[in-house]
Amino acid sequence: MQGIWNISWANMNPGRPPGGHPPAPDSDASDVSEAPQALLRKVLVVDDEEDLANLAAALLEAHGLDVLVAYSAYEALRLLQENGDIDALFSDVVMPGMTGLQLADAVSEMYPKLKVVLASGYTLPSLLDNRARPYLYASKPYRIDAILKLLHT
Amino acid sequence: MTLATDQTRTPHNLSRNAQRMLALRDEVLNAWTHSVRERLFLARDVRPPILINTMPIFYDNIVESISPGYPRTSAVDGSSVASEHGGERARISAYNHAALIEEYQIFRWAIFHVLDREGVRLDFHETHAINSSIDAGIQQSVEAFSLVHSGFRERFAAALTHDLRGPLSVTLSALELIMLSKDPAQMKAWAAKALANTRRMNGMVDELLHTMAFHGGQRLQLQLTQVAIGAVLDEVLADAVTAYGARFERVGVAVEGWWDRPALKRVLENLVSNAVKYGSAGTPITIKTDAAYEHLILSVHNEGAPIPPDEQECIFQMYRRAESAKRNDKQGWGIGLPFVRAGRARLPRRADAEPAVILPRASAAQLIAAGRTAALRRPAHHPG
Repeated sequence: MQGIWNISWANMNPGRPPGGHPPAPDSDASDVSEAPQALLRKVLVVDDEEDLANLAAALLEAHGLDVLVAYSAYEALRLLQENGDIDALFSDVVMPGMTGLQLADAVSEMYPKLKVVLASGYTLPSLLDNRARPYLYASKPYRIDAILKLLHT
Repeated sequence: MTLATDQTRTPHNLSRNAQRMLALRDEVLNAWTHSVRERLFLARDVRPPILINTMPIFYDNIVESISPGYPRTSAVDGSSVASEHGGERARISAYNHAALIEEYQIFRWAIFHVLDREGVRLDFHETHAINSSIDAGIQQSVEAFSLVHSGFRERFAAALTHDLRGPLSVTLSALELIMLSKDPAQMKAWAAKALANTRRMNGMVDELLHTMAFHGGQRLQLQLTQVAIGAVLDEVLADAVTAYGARFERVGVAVEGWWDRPALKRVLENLVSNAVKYGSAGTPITIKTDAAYEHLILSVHNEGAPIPPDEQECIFQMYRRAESAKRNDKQGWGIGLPFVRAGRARLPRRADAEPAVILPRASAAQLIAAGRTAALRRPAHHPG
């Protein structure tokens, strides 16, 4: 994970191989751990709220994923260009400048194989209306297992 | 020349009384403007072009409607002029429904008063046409006014839930991480993060409740204690530096006074965050404290494109945000600066403070939005 939080999950879950999935005690996410993982290893998390981006990244890492963090859509595009091995984008929707929806549209165009999952604290039904592409979507606040399920869909 | 919405260039087809009424338009509008400012508290600070708004057009539509044989039977026939007026009042004034209706009632009075004074004798049908036009105008204006306010409330609710879900999401994610973690140090760090965001949510709810209570007609309950403004500013700026980087400069003198410390802190947080939100990215923000005439004068200054004069009033009104802010995707509830304005004291406004905002009842604070400076003026002495 890039950013201000560099968390060593090896300390939390001794014996787990790098990139493997640590156990998630008391969490519904254990179901997710059983899901096929072959197509998803590296996720790009995008949120202008830095704390939330970092926490989401930490949670995804706790479930064995490699994670990059961007605090804006523009930074996300740069990271995508520099890291050809990113499998999925998990982005906030309402961000200053380029929004998560605009980012999703651009990413779908440039990287059609990339999985896109959006999240927002807005519940306006019109938020995802009239989009050329349907996107997987989660409302904030979310449980990380719900995001994992969407990422593995 | 008539300003009626059907754009008739030659009013010679108007009846004699209609033509006399048309010639008296300015006199009617002057009488109306004077009376509205005198009788409607909410109209006193509305600038002349905004106050007059579409009323000249509405008036000329009424003129057409009293002419026998003229196709128009009401001032609102085939025209959105009254709806536009109501919508405009909702968007850029502090009017409520009662003020909007009273404004039309005064318009009715002004028409009959001036016509009577100038010897224009109306028959039953002309009087009826004027009255029914004004009644229809009130109805359409109030409908548009309500519609705009309904839109404000929807956007406000959406922004409110969005902003509350930010810290709520951080809290939940931090708690999830604590559940997963076996490292006490990391657990403690995440617990601190959850705690800070819970406090942030609590502060947001407090601010909302205070502002809603004020707009519901209640007076703010203030707990006055002796406060050094410097200490409060230190706390506010420490948080601001963490959130926005080291771009704040403090100038001026140390001032002590009697204030409600939590309310004062929220006011300062709002001023600082608005200065960040609406200023140019990365530019310095200066917070200045002065003391004069037993008052604290506090100003927050940022850099960037000035807020247009016709939007300066909007930013201090509930749910309202400047159009320029909306265009720039600035997020917010639209209650921050109204909270700053809340708690209006019963003190006369200063003529040089435009728009002047008087803050909590125990104080004589004024917020002045001039260019990019927001200045807060509060008494440094104990009000009791």
